[in-house]
Amino acid sequence: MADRKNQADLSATERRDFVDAVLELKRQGRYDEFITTHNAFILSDTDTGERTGHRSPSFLPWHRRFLLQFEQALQSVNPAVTLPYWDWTVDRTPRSSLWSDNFLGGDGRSGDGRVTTGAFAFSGGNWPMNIRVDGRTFLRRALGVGVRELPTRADVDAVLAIPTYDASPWNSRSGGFRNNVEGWLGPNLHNRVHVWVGGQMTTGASPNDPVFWLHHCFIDKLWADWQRLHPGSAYAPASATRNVIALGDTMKPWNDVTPQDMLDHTQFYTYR
Amino acid sequence: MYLGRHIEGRPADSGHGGHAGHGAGGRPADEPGGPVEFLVRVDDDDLHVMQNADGTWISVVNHYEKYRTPRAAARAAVRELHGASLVPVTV
Repeated sequence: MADRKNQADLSATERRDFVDAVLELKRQGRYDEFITTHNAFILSDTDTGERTGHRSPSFLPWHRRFLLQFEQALQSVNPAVTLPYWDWTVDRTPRSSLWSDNFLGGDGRSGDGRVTTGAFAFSGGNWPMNIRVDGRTFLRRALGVGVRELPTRADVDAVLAIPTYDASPWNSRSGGFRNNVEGWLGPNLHNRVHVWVGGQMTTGASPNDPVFWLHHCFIDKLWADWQRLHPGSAYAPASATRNVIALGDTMKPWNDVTPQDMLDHTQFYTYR
Repeated sequence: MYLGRHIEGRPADSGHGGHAGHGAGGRPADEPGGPVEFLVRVDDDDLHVMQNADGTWISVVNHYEKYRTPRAAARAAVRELHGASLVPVTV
């Protein structure tokens, strides 16, 4: 059974293996397919139309499946690799080990925001920015610029305390756990972290920054934590709802997986 | 002009049954006909924007942050771009 660990607990070997597997997927062209897939949903999920990957109840099971697919791709390169998670309530500064040269590389420099250290720096030649929203071809970050503070543990606990999973109108205006963890309402968890990192992470093409996976891994873990706190609280909506993925509905782009299928993460991995 | 860049925006030609002609800034998206489609350009390149149900806007450059109007989203994009050109989005 694969363990997903806190990135702060990874050994140097585990860090290197993760980075190397990511770089290999990029080299093979498979990494960019994930960006393209995510882009399609970023651009098409709307509050009043069909919505699957974002701003809707299936935000969490969709990204769970998306991350599983990415993790399996990493494992096709190195079977020992699993997705680490970034607990940004603890590792909340540019000096955190997450941003070290032997892992994700550091902050962007002032001026053009270019990341200049680590394996994903443009100068290394191993991380071309092929799927992009603007002409800049280098990885960029601006840690703590777009918003000063990452969410705190208290922010997370307040969201974890919400007893319902989601509610009508099943979009960015909804009450419930999903919309508060996504961040359109409430203390703003998931969305705020994208803004805090800056660079490509603020854009629709956010998976260009490999921290995307570590961030969403923590979001996935928060869903698992919420389920343990509220065992009687089910995914909603249970039955067919216009434009929205109900419990038993299949999700694009795979069309063979439902939120029901994604409820129990322990079929695939455990969190350590 | 904003920070040396030309920005413009206008409602899209209607596909929503006669709701064309609403002014800049949009209207709440849960009215019949769906959200106002709005076209924004920065220096003649399209900036993809989307309206939220609460009337706020996001763009493909600032996708996780809400802005009150399409103009505010366009200005935020200009600040973020630092002079770079938008490119057509890959789907």
